[in-house]
Amino acid sequence: MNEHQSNAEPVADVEMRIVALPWHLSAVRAVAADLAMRADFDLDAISDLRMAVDEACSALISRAVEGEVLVCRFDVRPEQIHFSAQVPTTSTAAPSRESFGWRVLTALADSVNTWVTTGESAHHVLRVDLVKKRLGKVPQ
Amino acid sequence: MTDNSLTNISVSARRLDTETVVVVVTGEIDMATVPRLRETVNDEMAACRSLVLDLSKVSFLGSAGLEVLVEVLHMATSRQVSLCLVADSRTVRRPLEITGLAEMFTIYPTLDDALPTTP
Repeated sequence: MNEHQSNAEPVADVEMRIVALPWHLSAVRAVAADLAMRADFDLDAISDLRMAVDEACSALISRAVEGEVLVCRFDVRPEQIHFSAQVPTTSTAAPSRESFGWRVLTALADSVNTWVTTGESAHHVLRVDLVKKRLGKVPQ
Repeated sequence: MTDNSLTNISVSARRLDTETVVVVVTGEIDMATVPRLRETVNDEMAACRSLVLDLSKVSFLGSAGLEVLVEVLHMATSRQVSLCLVADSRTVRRPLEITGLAEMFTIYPTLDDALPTTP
């Protein structure tokens, strides 16, 4: 039994845990790009997913409790990849949807959601979920 | 600079003449590496009239990097320094296009295109 999961989520296709520091964003981006490439995403969609995952994880890392672990999950479906990441945070507020980074994220992903839940320990848990489809978006 | 060795960026500046500096960025521009870029550009911007930011070897550009580019543009405008970018890859052009920022910059496909032709 995994005692660190606060809800009974099924194991994702790929899960990774990184210390919540900017230095490790590169590793999460690399996994995102690899999965998207092998799932036959078009080149724009691969680039967008990599950026979206970077944006989501950067937002989480900047709000993480120091020394905590960011948990990332990738689920590869036939036409899209689902990504979710979460980290313990001291704040009850989710990232502002007015920020530049958030607006970039909504431009890149087909859907995004963020929320704060109560974790098992004293901290709250901030989570970001996004979906990216296999075929890339056309810039407006 | 941090003592963590997992950095993915190198930023180098070279002066072409009394007025022009070329800043070449190699690697990934993200939350971890953006301070290094900001630091170099701040230093170079203070001592030139024309800054060419060569992003042709950049392998990742996210919103942290885009924010710095916008900062650099504002700084250049207020100091009356002419600024242009060199970028030809999807890696750099796509983030600029999808955010609508591409229109705000002068972008050349190669460094040669960006530099004034010598008589």
